[in-house]
Amino acid sequence: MQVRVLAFATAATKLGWREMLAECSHRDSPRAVLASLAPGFDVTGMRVSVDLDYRSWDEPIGRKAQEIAVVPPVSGG
Amino acid sequence: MTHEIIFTGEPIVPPAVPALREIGASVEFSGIVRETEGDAKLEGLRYEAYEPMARRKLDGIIAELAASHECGSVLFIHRLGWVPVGEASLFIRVLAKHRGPALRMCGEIIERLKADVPVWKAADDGAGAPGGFSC
Repeated sequence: MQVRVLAFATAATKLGWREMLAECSHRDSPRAVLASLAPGFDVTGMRVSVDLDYRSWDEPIGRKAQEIAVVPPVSGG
Repeated sequence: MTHEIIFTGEPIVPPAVPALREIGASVEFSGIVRETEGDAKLEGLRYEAYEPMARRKLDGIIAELAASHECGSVLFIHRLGWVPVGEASLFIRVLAKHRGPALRMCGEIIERLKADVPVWKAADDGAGAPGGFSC
């Protein structure tokens, strides 16, 4: 399967991209999917979403997953 | 309870308060970009959002808070892109029968925004020069 991986704010700055496509399995975790695109990238302090909901970095993304986002600490307002 | 969520690249111009016979309190909050952040002097801040998720989170937050705060409506406006010093980046208006629920609702929306809603601000010169995103 293929998922879209998005990065925002400091995550985008550090990764050097805002959007990539990743080939992966539904059994893969968001951490594994991101590692396939950016090996060694440090996600300390960052959250991850799958299809617009916060999820664990280490749980399988599931068969319906379409979009993963790397979400650094928020600062709206 | 009704709510409206707006993300805009334009300056925030709050609409007039609607005349509703059951509304006794209108609580408004404006978040304004200030000139100093720590030791740094800013010209403005640049905001970005993961807008579909931000809307989804705000929908959930406001619905959750509405269960415990009796309010009539919430208007939430967040500006995106470059916001110069002195202009509003955020506007929230809560209408309710009584001031207590309106004040609490407004305060809690702000707290939850700052904890969970994927919106970010960065200090830069407005022309794309990096200044880093604050967290």
